[in-house]
Amino acid sequence: MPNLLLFLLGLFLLAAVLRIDTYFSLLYLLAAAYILGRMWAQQTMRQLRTQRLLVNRAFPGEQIPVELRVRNEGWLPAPWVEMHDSLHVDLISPPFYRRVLTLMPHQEQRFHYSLTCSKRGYYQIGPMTWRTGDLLGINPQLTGQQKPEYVIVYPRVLPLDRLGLPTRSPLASLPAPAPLFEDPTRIVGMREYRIGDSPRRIHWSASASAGQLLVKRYQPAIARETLICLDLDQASYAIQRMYQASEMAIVAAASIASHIILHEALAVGLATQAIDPLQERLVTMSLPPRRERAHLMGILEVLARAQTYRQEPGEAAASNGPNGQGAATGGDGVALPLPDFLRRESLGLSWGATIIVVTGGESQALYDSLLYLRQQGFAVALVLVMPSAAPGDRATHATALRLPIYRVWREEELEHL
Amino acid sequence: MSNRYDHGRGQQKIVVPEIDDWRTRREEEPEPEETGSPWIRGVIQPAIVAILVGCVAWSVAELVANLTTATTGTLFWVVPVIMAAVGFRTQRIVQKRFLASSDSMRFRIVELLALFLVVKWASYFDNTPGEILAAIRGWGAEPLSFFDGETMIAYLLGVLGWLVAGATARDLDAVKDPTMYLGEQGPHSRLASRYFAGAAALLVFSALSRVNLRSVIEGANPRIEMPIVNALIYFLLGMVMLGQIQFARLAGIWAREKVKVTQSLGATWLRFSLLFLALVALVAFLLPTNYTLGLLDLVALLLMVISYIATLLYLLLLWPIVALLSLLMGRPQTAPMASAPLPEFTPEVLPAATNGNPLWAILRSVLFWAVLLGVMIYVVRSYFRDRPALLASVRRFAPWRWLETALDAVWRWITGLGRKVGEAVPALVQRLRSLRRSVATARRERSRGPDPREQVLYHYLTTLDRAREEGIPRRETETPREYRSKLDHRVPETEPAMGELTEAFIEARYSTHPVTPEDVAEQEAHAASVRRALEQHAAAQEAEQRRTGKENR
Repeated sequence: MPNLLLFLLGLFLLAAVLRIDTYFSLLYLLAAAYILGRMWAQQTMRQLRTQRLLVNRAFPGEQIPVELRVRNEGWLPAPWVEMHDSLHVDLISPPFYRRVLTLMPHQEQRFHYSLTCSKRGYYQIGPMTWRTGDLLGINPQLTGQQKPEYVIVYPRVLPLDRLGLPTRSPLASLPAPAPLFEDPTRIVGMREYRIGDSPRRIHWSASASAGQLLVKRYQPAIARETLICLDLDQASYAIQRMYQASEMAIVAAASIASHIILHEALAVGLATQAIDPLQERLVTMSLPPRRERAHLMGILEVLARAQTYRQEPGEAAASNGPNGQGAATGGDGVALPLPDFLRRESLGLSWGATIIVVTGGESQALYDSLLYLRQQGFAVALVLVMPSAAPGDRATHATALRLPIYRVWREEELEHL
Repeated sequence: MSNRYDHGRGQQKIVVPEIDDWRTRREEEPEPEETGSPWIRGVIQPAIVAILVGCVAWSVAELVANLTTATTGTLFWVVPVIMAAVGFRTQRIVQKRFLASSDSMRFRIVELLALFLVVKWASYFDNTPGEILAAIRGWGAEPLSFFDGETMIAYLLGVLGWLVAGATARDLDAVKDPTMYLGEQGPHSRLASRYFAGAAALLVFSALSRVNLRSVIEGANPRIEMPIVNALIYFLLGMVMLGQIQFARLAGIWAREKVKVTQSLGATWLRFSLLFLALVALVAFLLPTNYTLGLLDLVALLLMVISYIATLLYLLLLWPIVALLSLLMGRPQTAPMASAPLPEFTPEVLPAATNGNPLWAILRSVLFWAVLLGVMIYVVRSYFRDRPALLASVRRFAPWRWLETALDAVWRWITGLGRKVGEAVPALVQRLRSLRRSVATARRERSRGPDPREQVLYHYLTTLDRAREEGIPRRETETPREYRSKLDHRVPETEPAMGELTEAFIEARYSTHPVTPEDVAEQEAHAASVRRALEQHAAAQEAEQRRTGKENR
């Protein structure tokens, strides 16, 4: 209230010069209203405590109940407090929650609302701001703010048959069980004899006890680990349905990871280049293969956060030669081309591991890179998120080289994305 | 009206609709939710506005009554009160019924003419029927007598009140609906400005009716203790109204933005406003409103007090030094305070006519000015803190910068002085204590006399001094016995006295054996004997040198 200061100064001069007692009282009255009102509002701001209670992880389709607690910890009442909680438009409409309340000393009020998680993502909840002021409106209003929180909505996890993928793992065609993969000194169990089993595997004493032929099961000598390489370059997907296709790729990656860990109890990892909303820049997200359920949640969390990126042609790091000489390195904010990225990520894998590439587009360089990886001793599989098309030269070539290729494109599933 | 939200920052931006004609918009959009009850809107609000107008008009009436004895001035406040109430109601009616400006104008003109007739009728309220008839007959002869001065002034004041009340009614309605004042100064600000303008007018008129300007110019105006009731009513009621305006404004915004508001917030607001104003009024009326000493007198008094305290401190510091010197000089201790009497504290700035305790008058004045200046400084400081841009622009003004630098320097000097005094006083106290201990020790030593052991040491050491003067010093590496042998070798006449003296010294210095006064007397004799031997040796040496010198010549 700009008039108040001038008025007070004028009143002060008038009172001092004319020596009228009432004018001094009026001066005190206005000044006290100003000062005490200001102090009251400041005290209210200092003693207001807010808390937002919510579960910050959910799957699509779930609802997250949120509880807001506002408490006045002071001995002065808060006559009015306006709260404003900023929310994400994908979680609630309208994308905010606002209330005006009065709080008595040491009173706490609780408010509830729900967030509907329909899409995977990493959402900011808040910041919650509150505003208060004096009752007469002669002081500026004061505002406070609480730090924002984040909610992770995991990507959808579908059974592999709904995606049109085989339900056995690894997805690559592994040869028949070979001694190379098993350690005969580590017996993990027994099973019935089947035709074709080597006589060396027969457990004679156990067979004698059971009255039927039993063969030993050995612990694998090398890790049958799988790395899912997810391509989130927008250029890899058809521009007409880029959003749906990239989301389907993420769903496919999440579903494969979930299947391998939950159903086959094997180790799986994830590697992708994506924009991370936490860092707000392009980063390489790489989780080495592990088999725990907690690790699966870690993978889903990364997949929830990952966002597609668009790389201008000039920005891309130089592609490798066909034989992989001269490994390219991606600097800050610059993504490697998918073939180079695959080669780089394969460096940390054990010999014989499986690499599953999930992408929206195929290229000769990609096939070259996959063949190179297979020659290096890895099992590779390609999951293409794109409509079925007549087999071209490249696909024919890949089939001739016995590269397993799977296409994921179900219209009914895309509708739900 | 549509809202747009910035998801990135969570801040709301209100998008201003492009429609310019507010009447069209009012037809299309629903009325904002009414925040006050009809009773408040229809009775309380017009009554408060009429009372506020009446308070200002009262001050005018007082002034007129002071200036002339032709009228009591009653009409000058009654008419504005009535016309303000009517004007407030008229605005509501016009806003509700008439949308065309020509209709509303016609309505207002008719109302003003009718009100003039009412005022004219009211001006004869205290006249007898005969006087009224005579006046009516006079209108035919002199038509201008119909428009007499008192009626016209009262009517003009009434019209002013009528306009102000109408504008206030419009703003009170507009304050609930932010879309009504898009692109112009907000009704909240207009109401506040009007309130302060009315307050300024009230204060000026009230002052003019009470104060003799000549005495003010001469600086001899007396204090006015009589409370100005209409001013108090105006300010208290006005503050209640400011609170309600603030609530109406916020409630209007919340209603339009569909924000959920706690039930009974209006009642809570009113209750807290009244409590707050009661507290504020209590504080305001408890604080002193008069002073015996003016600000400059108080500054003079303050300087006098500082000077007095400085003199007192000087004398207090001087006292131990004088006492010490008197001890050292062996003179009887005189009272230094008596020799340098304290200055008499006679604050001449206090008026002789002060009744009661002068100290209480000073304290009250100090409290008064401290509160007043503190309040003003706080308000100005807060005002500028809330407006950093204004503060920055003011700081660019050179005289302000100089003033700020000067005040900063003064503040630093004061705080630095305080810090130095804080450090110096404990050190001084420590030094004085140490000095007192030293003086007490010296006094004890002097009253007791030297110890026999120390006297033995003294005789030995004075003997060594004498020997050094004769060119036979004792080196630091030599033990007393080694030195004795050396001295014996150089001056054999010193024995056996030097031997006795050396052994007595060793016993006194390095043992706890008792040393008696007899021992002292014996060693004193030995020392004298050694000194004599040394003197004789020196004389013999000198004679020998003289003789050798003669032979050489």
